[in-house]
Amino acid sequence: MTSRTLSNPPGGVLPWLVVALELLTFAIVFVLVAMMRHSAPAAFALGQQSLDARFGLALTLTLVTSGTFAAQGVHSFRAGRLAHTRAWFFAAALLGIGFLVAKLMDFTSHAAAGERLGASDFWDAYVLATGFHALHVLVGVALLLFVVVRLGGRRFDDEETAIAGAALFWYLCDAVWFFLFPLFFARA
Amino acid sequence: MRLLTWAVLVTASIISVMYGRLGVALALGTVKAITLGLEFMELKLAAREHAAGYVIFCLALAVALAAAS
Repeated sequence: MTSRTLSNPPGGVLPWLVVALELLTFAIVFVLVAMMRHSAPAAFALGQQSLDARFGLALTLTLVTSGTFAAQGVHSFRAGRLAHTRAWFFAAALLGIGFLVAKLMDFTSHAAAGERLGASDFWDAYVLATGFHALHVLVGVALLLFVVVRLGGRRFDDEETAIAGAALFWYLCDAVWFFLFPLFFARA
Repeated sequence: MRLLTWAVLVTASIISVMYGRLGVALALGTVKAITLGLEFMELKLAAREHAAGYVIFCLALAVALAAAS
């Protein structure tokens, strides 16, 4: 269970170490994107015309709902309902896969219109930053599915860390998207 | 509580898109990240230093992004 001690954060020390490093890495990426946005306002304004904020909202809602499913899975685990944990994590992973498919279609359709790496500062930033985030979503989906599979068989030595840690990484994908979204979909 | 958290996150996301301005979207994004941290990441149950560190990080990042944009 969770603890209020400094040496035992909810989810365990190792997952939080990973999350802290990832947050710092993403923070650097976001500040670089913000600086590019400031230095190339025309390219960003033009690029944003090709983005649909409703699509961005759909991606956000997918991640938010998926994160809620993961939280429900952690709650079920602590209540001793492992079958429910597997079901919630699987549902969270499915939404994550949906997010990735949507991003792939997004990249493909923009690339077909010439909106790809090298096209402008906006598209450089968009492809690299959202692609970097999508890579993390891919890892998060893999972690969730790994937990689903393992809970059906050999189980874990430290299940609290494994389950809460996988969920923690998944929440990280949500948290960084909340800062990524405004940089590309919001107007100056 | 998880359903309420989901509702807060969804509502803030919809408002963010409705307004469409960077300042509003960044502010709401920060609120969402902090809500997610306290509830789903369970920082409300963690040592006060951990929770404070995360909240300060989110606020500092929002200020840095607003200043740099």
